[in-house]
Amino acid sequence: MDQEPLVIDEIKAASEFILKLNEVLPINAAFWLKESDDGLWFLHLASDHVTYGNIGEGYGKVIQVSNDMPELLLDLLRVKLIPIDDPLAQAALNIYEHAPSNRPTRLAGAMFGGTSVDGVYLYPRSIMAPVSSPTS
Amino acid sequence: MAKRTREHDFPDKDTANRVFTHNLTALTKLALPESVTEEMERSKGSPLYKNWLIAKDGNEKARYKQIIEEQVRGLHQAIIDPDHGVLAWIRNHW
Repeated sequence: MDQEPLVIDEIKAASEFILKLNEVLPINAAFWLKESDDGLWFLHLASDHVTYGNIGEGYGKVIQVSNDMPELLLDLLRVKLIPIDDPLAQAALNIYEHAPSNRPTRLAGAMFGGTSVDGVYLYPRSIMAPVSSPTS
Repeated sequence: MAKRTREHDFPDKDTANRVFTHNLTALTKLALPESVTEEMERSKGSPLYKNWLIAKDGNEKARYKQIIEEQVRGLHQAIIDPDHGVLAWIRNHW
């Protein structure tokens, strides 16, 4: 599998997108993640307002915000919404508990939420919405 | 991808490596002409595009995981919806 780098433009674009999306869909954790045997980075957005029962509605909000940002250079096919109880979301929240709130966290070649990854870029907690519902 | 490969073709190594994936996003970009993927981009807001966003989250590794029923039903519906499903769209661009 080829190694596609995560570029600064994508990191910045996603950061702007998260801030805007937070206005209609609170995002509690956000990170780019590349699985070990996959060639692509995906932006994972974890929300306590998303369940697998309403994920279509959640993607509707993602599309709505993207349409409001026509200059945004972010491929929505690289965006994954996940519920807050997803193991990947829980791994991110666990890091938020220990990492400085205003700096991103990078991981390379590690296990993350039970998944073998080549890399993770975790956005700082300071741009996230606080978790409002109990996690399981 | 098979349709685009002719007998006696010597495959491009990079493409050959990238095509061995279950990742729908990667496969779409490899298999479909740019004009078709751009058409899909322009259809943002349509039920079809939303179904693409749901269907692309399918992951073959999930077969080793316990999945809740509503997740499977949502994924299945996004694929098989006769009017706006991903499978019907792919068949149109076969």
